[in-house]
Amino acid sequence: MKSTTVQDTHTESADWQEGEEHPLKYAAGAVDRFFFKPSEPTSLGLMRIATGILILYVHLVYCIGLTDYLGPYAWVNNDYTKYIRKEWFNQGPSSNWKDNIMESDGQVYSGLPMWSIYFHVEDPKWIWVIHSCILISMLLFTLGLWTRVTSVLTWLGSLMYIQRFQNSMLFGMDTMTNLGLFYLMIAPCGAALSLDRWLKVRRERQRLGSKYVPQPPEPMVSATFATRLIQINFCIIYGAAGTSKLLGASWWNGTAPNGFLLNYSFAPFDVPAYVTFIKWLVSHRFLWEMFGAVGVIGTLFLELGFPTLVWNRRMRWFMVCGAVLFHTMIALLMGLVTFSLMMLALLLAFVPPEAVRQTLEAWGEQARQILFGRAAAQAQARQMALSR
Amino acid sequence: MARDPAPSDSSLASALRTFRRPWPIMGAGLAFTVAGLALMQTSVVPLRVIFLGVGTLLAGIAVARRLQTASWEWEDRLESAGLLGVAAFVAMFGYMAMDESWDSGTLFYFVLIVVSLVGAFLVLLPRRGRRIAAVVLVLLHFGGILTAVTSVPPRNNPAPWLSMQLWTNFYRNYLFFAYLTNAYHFYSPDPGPATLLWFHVEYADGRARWVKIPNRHDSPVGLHHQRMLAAAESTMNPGFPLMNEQQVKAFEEKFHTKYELLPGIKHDLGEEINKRRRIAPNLVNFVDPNDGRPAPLYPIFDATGQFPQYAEPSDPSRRLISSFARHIAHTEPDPEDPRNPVKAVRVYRVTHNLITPRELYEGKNPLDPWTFLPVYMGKYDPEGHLLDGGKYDRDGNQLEAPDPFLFWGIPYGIRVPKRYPEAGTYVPTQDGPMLNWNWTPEQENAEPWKIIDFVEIHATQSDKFRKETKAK
Repeated sequence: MKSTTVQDTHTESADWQEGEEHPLKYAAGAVDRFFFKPSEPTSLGLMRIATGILILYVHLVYCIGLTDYLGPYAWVNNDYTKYIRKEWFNQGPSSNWKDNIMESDGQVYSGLPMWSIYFHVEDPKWIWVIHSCILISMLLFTLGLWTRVTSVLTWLGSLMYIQRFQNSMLFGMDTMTNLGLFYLMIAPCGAALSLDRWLKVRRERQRLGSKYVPQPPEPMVSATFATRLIQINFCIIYGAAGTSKLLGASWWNGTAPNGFLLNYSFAPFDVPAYVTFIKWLVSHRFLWEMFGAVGVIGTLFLELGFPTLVWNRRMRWFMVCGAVLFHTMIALLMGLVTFSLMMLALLLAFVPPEAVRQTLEAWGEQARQILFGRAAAQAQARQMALSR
Repeated sequence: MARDPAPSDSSLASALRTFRRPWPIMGAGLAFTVAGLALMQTSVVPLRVIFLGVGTLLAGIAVARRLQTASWEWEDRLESAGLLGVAAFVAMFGYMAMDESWDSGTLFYFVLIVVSLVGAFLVLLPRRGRRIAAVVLVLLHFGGILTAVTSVPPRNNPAPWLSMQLWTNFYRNYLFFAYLTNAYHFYSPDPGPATLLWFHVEYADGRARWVKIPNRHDSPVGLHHQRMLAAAESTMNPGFPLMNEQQVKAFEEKFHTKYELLPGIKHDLGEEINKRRRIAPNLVNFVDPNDGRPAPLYPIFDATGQFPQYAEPSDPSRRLISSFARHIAHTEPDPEDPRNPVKAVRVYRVTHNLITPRELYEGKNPLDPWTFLPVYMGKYDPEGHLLDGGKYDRDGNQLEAPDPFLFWGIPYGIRVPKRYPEAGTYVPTQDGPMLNWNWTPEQENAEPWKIIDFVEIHATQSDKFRKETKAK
């Protein structure tokens, strides 16, 4: 066995320095590649469309009784929001061991730093004007027109509703749409599958004439950077959801699914087939327990495993497919359809952009063949460059 | 067929090209914002807001165009930073044009100034510096997200001290501004029951009806149903534990606030609230409308601890309930006579307990009355003012006692022997009789039994007895 001496160590160290790369430099390079190696923006383009459609739907739904949400007699009136913004006091943690609220020296804060134009506008006429402007911005964002500006406007617009309803009418879907819009605002999400891209191609074609051959969108540093942010945040969401469940008895003894399956307000008890199925399931204890156990183990495996396993190329598709199945079940059994759709939109960050582009091209080609026939479709394909 | 290149020498095209350049757009943005600032002295508020909005939007467009078209050569970076600097000025003018009460605008423009200046700094950095700065910002951002994740206290335990320090002293403003405050603890530690709100809407002519949220069948889309679920759930935050006189004094001194139920309504001390509930059955002679027998609402005895006893919501939740009551009063007209105005709205917050698999197997229904656990949240006038929270003179002397059941659990469909309230049909204790929440007919040799809906009784009979109590 080789004995390690000071001399050996020094020698090794010297060899090491003469090697190709110092570990710190290697780590810095890895971080650089992780965040800044250029990649295609196609997945982000698709994510923009999915998020845009969803956010447009969410805000169109506000049109059904808009003044119930924002008018002078809204569910949550502005006396309440003013109280939350200005008066509601919270105490920070103590700097010493006196944790009791009355003894603590923790700083007392009054109000929360929230903002929304709807805190100040109560006239239904102006509410409709602002709401319409925000809807237009969301539509343009979804279509990918002037995306650099409309992505910011869409995030700010959406945030105005979220801030207005904070501590009152929000649920997980709002958190996820906000996250999606926040990162898409940073991302070059209008560089692919957008009207911006179509206009750019059109301009180039006008400039170069028949010499112009459309190319796929250029790989971009900002595409990788934004995609990484979404991926990391997605992993944090799953990790937090999984670890927090480990504190619950029902996740240990397998009864947690009862909380969804038998919850009248969430589960589809208005669907007769569901009621029949659940009644059949409870009449077979073994099946019920198996169903619950598979649900619990699957949830915990996915939420705890996803943050690590998804980074392994071989496991990535398995984890992504697992997440798709997981959110489909949430949508069907808990009625959280918009939340699940938004999670699926965020999940697109884990799909390689090349795969998205090739799939869309293949689908586009098939659609063109069906619509125009093979010869015309080929000519059309040369003209179309939206997805490339 | 390829098209010819567009003619580039027309004066219109030239003018359009000029306008598309970032600096003229920024100039226009600046001009609009300054005009908005100038309008501050006038009363044309919509015009000022439009000018400021257009100015800010144009500045944003200018920055977006510049960053999309400029190269990363030093001269170009310098110019881009200059443009961002001017954008910061636009934001500053916007900030100055805000009225004192427009705190949202002030906050928004303040953030815009910071973002513009940080952006200018980032643009000036060389490539490596920019990347290092970006990674540092990413670490700070996810540090904030992780602070939000870990600052939720585990059940019956405090939150991590470090997370709380970071949350309150460093990340609070950033996370709240961008609404990144969610901890992602979905259905953790255990999935719980849903919360509902029941409103007993009373009209001027004496008629009344129930409005209940969430109600899947009344929601036009699933999203609306989820919002209603979230609204009801938001009222669940528990208030401070009940206090004695000494604690109230210390509380008011420390937080420079009054110990009140709602603005202008004094909060009683803990011992008064408990005493009032204990003696309530002696003062309020409820009658079961089904058989005309007395139906005293004794305090509830519940060995399982499921039934809510005193469940006062937090200050924000109390205000939220008042806001909901006001909304209901203005949006739920009498279906038979829309001209019949709403006189008052009583609110009951209801925990809808889950049925167990065994109960479902035994043929029970998720909507069985005993799965609903209501707590009385007060009676409100159409403007959301609490009517039965007690009345006091200027010196704090009580003129009218609050409803003794305010914030106490009220059984909805409790099973009792048919001969209730005769001896042996309740639990005798040192403090007086108590209603046994867990009583089932099977336990008592199938004694004839009935269901009493104390919520309906309370909603419809309280006013009568409040008048009598007041007279006493």
